[in-house]
Amino acid sequence: MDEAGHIHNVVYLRYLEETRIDVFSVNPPKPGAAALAFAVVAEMDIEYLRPLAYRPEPVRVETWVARIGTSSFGLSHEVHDGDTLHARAQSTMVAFDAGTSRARPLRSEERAVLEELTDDRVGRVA
Amino acid sequence: MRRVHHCQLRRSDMAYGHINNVIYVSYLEEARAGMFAGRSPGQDVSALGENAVVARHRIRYLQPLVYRPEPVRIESWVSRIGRSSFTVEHEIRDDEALYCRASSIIVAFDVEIGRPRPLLPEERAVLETFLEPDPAPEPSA
Repeated sequence: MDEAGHIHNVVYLRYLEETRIDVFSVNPPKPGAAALAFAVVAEMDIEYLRPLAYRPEPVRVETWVARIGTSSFGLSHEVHDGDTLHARAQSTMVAFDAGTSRARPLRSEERAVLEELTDDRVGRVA
Repeated sequence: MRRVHHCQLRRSDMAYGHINNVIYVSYLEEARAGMFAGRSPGQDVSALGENAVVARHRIRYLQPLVYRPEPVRIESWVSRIGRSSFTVEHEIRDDEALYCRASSIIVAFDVEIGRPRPLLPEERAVLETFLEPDPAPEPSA
């Protein structure tokens, strides 16, 4: 939080990161595609539309896949509180081979999971 | 004029072998606060670093940044000054590589009334010292 009691801009990015981990590897587990949670962020474009005041109730982060490439994919996120849209973000994620420290092609089971998330928004709380 | 901030990395900022992407944005905030803090008396524009609101961040992560004891350099400058908002550009780099390029829209904010406010003349004067408008795009051939 900042001095005005608003959630700090950097923290939203943490919420998006938690959401990615949740969507791709936890809830429910995605056998063969859990590594998507640890794809690296190549680009992030986030618009802060309305301040978010701290409160104990969770906010809703809606996430969907906007694009699927060879090694990369695009995610869209919206941070909602009830009917109010607080932030909107687009990110480019790259599948990464930690052994070689290089981008790697998406695997077929990963593509299948991404394709499922192309049509459906997944609501998660943060 | 670009302001240069020497940013010390922390081992605890690492995850999976590189500095976590969210941490870069905290580094940028440090660099931005440094642009506006500690000015001479009569030029107290620290509110631009501390209380202004971020309307948008556009961040490109170009090379992974791995912990090392030597600081990285964050170069910051202003590319646009509007009525209530301005745009700050950042590069995180060293002599070998450009790790990150970012552009942030910052809005001057009146905390009392909870709304954007016009930039003050002394704030504009300081922003102008950092102004380096983006070069016009080259005409297509």
